[in-house]
Amino acid sequence: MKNLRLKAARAGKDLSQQALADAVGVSRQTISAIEKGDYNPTINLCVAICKALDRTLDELFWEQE
Amino acid sequence: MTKQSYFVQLDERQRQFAYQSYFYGFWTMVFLLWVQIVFGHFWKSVLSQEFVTFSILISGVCLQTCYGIIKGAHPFLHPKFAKQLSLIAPLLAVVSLGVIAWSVWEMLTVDKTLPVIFGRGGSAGMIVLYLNLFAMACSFLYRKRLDAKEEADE
Repeated sequence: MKNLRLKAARAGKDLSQQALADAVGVSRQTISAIEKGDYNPTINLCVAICKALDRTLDELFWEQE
Repeated sequence: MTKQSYFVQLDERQRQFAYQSYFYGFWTMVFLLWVQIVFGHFWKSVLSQEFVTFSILISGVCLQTCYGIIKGAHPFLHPKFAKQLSLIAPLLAVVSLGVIAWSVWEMLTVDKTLPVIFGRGGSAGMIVLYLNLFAMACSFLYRKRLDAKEEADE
């Protein structure tokens, strides 16, 4: 399932995938895979992404009904 | 440039796919070795041991490399190396096709008999080697195309 909230939050901060990837210390392909729903990140990476985007885990990664 | 700067740190997703690529590469080699042990009796007069061993090893390495590159989980894709490889990969693909064509020509006109073709230093060994190099070069070019597409979509 695509993570559109992550994509929207990244776009809201005016960050490219590469910029976010550099901020959290992963490759651009990994950010792309998370946004496309092809990869489930570990909690450590989720927290790092949330900190970089100033969002909470619930806002970005909790599944909504 | 110090030795340390050649070291590439893979992230968690890349490590996961890198382990998978080693898994596939290793078990491909084991499977091909098993095929050789079980069925090798039928072609032992045609295929030399060097050719069989080389083909098994290079196939496993090629599968591991191609899988890692396509999944974006190979050190070759790191920005440190990607620039040089972007130049080398198309060249390698073209050279590989040329060498394969030359080897096929040699196989048909010079070597002719199967024991010579598949023997030590025969043209079949060159074909296998350059087919694998061609596959690696193509996988790199395909990954670059996927990257460009993803960047355009973002």
